[in-house]
Amino acid sequence: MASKQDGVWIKLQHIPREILYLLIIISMIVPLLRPMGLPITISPQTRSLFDSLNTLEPADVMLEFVDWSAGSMSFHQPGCIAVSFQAVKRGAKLVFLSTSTEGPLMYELMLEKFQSVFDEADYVYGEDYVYLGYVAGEETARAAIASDIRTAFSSDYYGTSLDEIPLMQRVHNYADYSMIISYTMGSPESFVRQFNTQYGVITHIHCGEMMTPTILPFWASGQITGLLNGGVGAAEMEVLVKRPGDAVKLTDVYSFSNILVFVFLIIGNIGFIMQRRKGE
Amino acid sequence: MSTKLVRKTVPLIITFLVGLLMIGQWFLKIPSLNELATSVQQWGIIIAAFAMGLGSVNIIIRNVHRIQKREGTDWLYAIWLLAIFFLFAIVGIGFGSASSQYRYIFNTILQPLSATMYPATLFFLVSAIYRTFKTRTVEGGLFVIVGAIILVANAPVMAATFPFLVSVKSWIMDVELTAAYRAILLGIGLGAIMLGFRVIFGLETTHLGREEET
Repeated sequence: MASKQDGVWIKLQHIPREILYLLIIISMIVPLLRPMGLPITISPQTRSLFDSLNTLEPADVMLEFVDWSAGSMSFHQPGCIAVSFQAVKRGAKLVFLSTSTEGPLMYELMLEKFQSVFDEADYVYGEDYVYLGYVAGEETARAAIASDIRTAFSSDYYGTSLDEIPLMQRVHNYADYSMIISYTMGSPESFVRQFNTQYGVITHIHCGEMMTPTILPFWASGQITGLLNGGVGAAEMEVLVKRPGDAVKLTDVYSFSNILVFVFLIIGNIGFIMQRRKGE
Repeated sequence: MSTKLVRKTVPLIITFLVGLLMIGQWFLKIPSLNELATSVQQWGIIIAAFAMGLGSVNIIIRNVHRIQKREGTDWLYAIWLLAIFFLFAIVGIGFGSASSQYRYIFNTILQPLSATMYPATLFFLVSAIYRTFKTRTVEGGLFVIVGAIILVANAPVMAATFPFLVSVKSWIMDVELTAAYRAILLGIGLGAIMLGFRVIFGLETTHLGREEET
């Protein structure tokens, strides 16, 4: 904390954290209360995912790993909804499943918002989409799902045997998956290892922004086809599918909060450089 | 059977055989080997499910000990942890995890708490960035400049208003970051291969517990 005798440059470096926190709260609340609809640029990674989804045919099956938790629901759920919307628009079949414990509840919360899309498209549970529930084992489970889905699941989330579900009668292993997408905050590279590296299945990832730098090398190498970068990526996908939703509403918050962090970074450094020059 | 045979030799033999099997099925596409490897993966899933149960028992034992000792203020948190643990367990087992009762406690307790934890880190991040990202050295200056560019380019409105920022950010991410992170990944990969061989050949035995216990 700077004292009254300190010069202006020292004070610039010691703005009380209460003021910092207050400004952060304002930067988050104001855009939420009064959305400004600030422009959004589409990244090449999101565009690549969108283009890949547009190659889906009605006979294709896409695996969607509902692996997010309540903490990342604000951006994973809109991302999943936007991706699923485009897949449904293409008429593809969707197999939802989870390898994280909170997955089943996250799926149900997502379904509350997405059921109307299934209804409008005349999608029937068991024929056009299915939810298999949660399986323990993380990467081991993902490996098993890739090699033979029946080693990981014998029934769907509601207890119906896989062999009695029309859609699952033709879904057995990697050869039946047109593409997969993982919505995760965990280890997205395990999906690359188990699905793309070993079997060449088209793999998409939607991860948190702090995870993106760790997964970018796989996108550059072509092992990941599409990559959604946290909330911004979800918003970009909503724009591409022309269905603005919760993620687009949050982009103003991302813009404001990022600019605020940038401003404080500059203020702190101006204070530091000037203090050093003046020898305070 | 002697303790050493049961607690060390047999697990090492199992590790060796399973390790060889999994490596073999990756490189050799022999149907019978693949079937066996798939079975092992299935066992892995079952063991993982058991491990979750074991973890739950461990949580109970550790927190009951904490409450019994009553050291500091930790034991109060332990009581709270166990109360919530049993609340979720009883409702989940009693009514099912898809029931309205379980969803109610999930939606009113866990979801708001988890949803708060993630954005709350923003406050600490801003404070930390403001206080520590300083141009003390040339390297530090470069770090600040790169961080500032990424920050601004990640703000959707700035990326849309100043497209050149996106190009600069893309270059940093695609060339600089990817090159550096690939080196890290290769290092991790080589380390994992070495560790894998050490485990398979019984040179690494920490997964069997401490030496005095084995």
